[in-house]
Amino acid sequence: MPTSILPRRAFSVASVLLAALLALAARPLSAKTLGWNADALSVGLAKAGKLPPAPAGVTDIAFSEFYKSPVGPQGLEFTDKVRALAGQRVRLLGFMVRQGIPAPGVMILAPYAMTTSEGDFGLCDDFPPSVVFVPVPKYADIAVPFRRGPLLLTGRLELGPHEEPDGRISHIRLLLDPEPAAAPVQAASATVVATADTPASATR
Amino acid sequence: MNKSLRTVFTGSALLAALAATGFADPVVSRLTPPSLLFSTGVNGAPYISRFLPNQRFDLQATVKPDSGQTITSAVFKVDGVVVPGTVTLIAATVSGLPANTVSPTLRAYSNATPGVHTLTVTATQSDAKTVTATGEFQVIGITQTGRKAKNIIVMIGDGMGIAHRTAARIAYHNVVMGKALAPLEMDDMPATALVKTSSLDNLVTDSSPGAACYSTGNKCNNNQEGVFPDDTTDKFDNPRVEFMGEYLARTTGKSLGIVTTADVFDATPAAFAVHTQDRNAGTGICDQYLDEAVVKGKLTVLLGGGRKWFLPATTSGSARANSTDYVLPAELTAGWGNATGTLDANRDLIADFQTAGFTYAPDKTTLTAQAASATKLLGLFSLSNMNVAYDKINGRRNVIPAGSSQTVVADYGFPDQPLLEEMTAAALTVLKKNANGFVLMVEGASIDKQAHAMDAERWMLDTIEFDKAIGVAKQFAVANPDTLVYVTADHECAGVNIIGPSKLTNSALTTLASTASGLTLRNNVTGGSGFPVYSIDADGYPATMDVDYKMLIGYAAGVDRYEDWLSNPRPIQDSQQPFVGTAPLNTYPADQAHRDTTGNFYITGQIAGTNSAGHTGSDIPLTATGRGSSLFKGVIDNTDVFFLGMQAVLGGVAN
Repeated sequence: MPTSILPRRAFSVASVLLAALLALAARPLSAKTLGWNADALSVGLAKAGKLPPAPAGVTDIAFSEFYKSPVGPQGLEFTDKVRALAGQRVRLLGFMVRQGIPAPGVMILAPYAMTTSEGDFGLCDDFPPSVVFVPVPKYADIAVPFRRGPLLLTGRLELGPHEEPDGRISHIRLLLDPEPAAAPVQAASATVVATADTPASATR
Repeated sequence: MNKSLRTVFTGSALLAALAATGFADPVVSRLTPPSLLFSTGVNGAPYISRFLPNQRFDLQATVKPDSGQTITSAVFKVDGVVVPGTVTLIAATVSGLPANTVSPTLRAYSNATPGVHTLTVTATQSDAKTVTATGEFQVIGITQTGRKAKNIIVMIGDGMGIAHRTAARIAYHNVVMGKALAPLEMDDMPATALVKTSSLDNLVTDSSPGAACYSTGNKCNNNQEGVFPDDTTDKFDNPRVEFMGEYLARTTGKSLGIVTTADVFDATPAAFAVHTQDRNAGTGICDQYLDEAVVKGKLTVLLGGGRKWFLPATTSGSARANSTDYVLPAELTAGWGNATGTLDANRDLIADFQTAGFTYAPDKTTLTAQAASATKLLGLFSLSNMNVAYDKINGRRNVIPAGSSQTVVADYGFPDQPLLEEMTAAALTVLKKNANGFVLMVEGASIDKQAHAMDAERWMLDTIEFDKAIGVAKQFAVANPDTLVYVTADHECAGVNIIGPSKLTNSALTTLASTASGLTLRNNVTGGSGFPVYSIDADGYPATMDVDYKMLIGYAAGVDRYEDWLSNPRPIQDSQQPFVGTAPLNTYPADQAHRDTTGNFYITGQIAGTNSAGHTGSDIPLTATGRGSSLFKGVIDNTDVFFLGMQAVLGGVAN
């Protein structure tokens, strides 16, 4: 292979990590600083006091807690924590996958803000293993309308293989709590979150 | 396609009168293999269906009886002579056809005589009326000319058009004062051709016919591989065309290897080994890799992602389901002598491959350790698609996205995935052990997938990874001179082109991207001059894609997106989810909020859809080296590439 005549730049692992940490410290919570990692966002919000406390009887869980990592030579294995929570109520912060062709009545929650393109790739996907399928009974026969931004969802955890309407097999499902009748808790939290990210300029 | 009506009237005015009342002759609505002669009545070139001497394929017609009648028998003739063999009247099950429509089918026909052959079907109705339809096909002869290629390596850059190659060259070798400082491996090959890519039913193909043209010498409908279209809903009963791998295994004892960075059930790898009208039937496709391709087609190496199809349905992560599995009809297995299959979602396919003598590698460490001693090799490095080159390389460099605690590949749970050049080297180590030679297909799969995602840095890195794999293949061809290597694509993806160097340094671009809105970003970035400077790290890959005055990419077949020309920390990132600051921390998802109007440069797409740029119909470049490469020249059809390669393997070239 021809040698480049341009200078090679040594790549220091330590300098990359330091740069990443400095970047995180200097800038407010946002997609660009967090790379849209829902687990990290959840931890950051909790530390900043902006995550509402979990309701009684509900356990907070993160995507990284679902499966043992790294994956072994065969399939995935649930962690002890998630196995113990099967059938229990849990709370999870994640992003709704923006699907090209969603299946009716069910959405997919992922640790990152991702897209899929079923029309081009079908069942060939780039999901991390820990995606969670969330049936939404209100939209039983149609596509669940896309909702941007992080979603904090509470419901009963269901483990085990299940064939979804589009042929995908889900292994983790979140059966949502019934929709609250009263106004949701969002107002104060959303304002605080927006302030953290919105710069002083009024032109945004 | 235009349908051609051919009926034979047996003759009287009474019958003609009765025709108006429904006592009519049957109608042939399809004749397979397809031909312009049948569909349009036009004789002559181009011949749609072409075959090697003795390459097996199925004959089929679809016959619609008059109402109240059935079709009782059918006969196929080639050049006026009845074709021996069983003709089965398969029930046509697609909707919209008249009752009792059938598809007479004769399996595994072949013809040894070069030239154009007339194909007719004559069907008889229960009231004794008959119909005859005429089509044609061509057998392409092999000329015994010179030294043959023992091995053939087909390198497919999925979606890799001319601009993808150019961009990879710029990023990997730089252009200074107008000249590239070095060629890519794929540039540095003596033979060049342009390849036309349309499929049987679409100006713009997809990866299924886009690969099957190379593996069978024939066109397919979009979404279909190794088969012609039919009138049944069954996914696996279509009329087949014998694959290059199957044909060479049967006639010359060569082995077959399939290497991809995608899920192994995906279109390009499957189109070299599995016959189906549904590229999405993952369980059945992966089962048939073993049940048919290994058992009958000498499939010896299968490397890629897609472990989810090989795990029993009860194992977490498995995608196996009866709805995508296969059972073949008896008339098909009788004709082709292959396995019937069964609905077995709980099958442990990894264990079955191991029982068949395959060494199994779940990661790069095992792959490189075991290749030398393996006689057959199965590698499944991720649940579905492997992580792309950008993320695999960052995994090895331990680059952690801001806010995360581990690299992307570690986040996915598969931290030790091989690069395509490592997979290619392992495949060649195993395939070389066959003294009869081999066919190897290597796919750089995520050039296309990341072009669909309009993620320039990731498809460029995948193209560079693919180029290194080409380097491995070329080195093999130098050490084993009876080897033909050609680099091609199934189609172009996303209408990619290089629209200039950026006007900004990386730091200025990063600052502007976090504050700009509307057209400010575009107006301050595009229209630059000069050249970016990319540098290569010690591991042989670009140190960073975010360089000063970087290459800017435009997409002619893009969809709506936000563009900031900066590398995304994660793949398949949703560019339409910038943080808007109004996300409710609700316990229940509500209806969609307004579209974000602030932030980076919003580009309206040329095609409909929200998530994925599209394929395009332009010609793609092919380059070739090694034994027989001089055959590849000019502007050719993608099916021509199959026949040129087979001439090199079966007949040789003079030089």
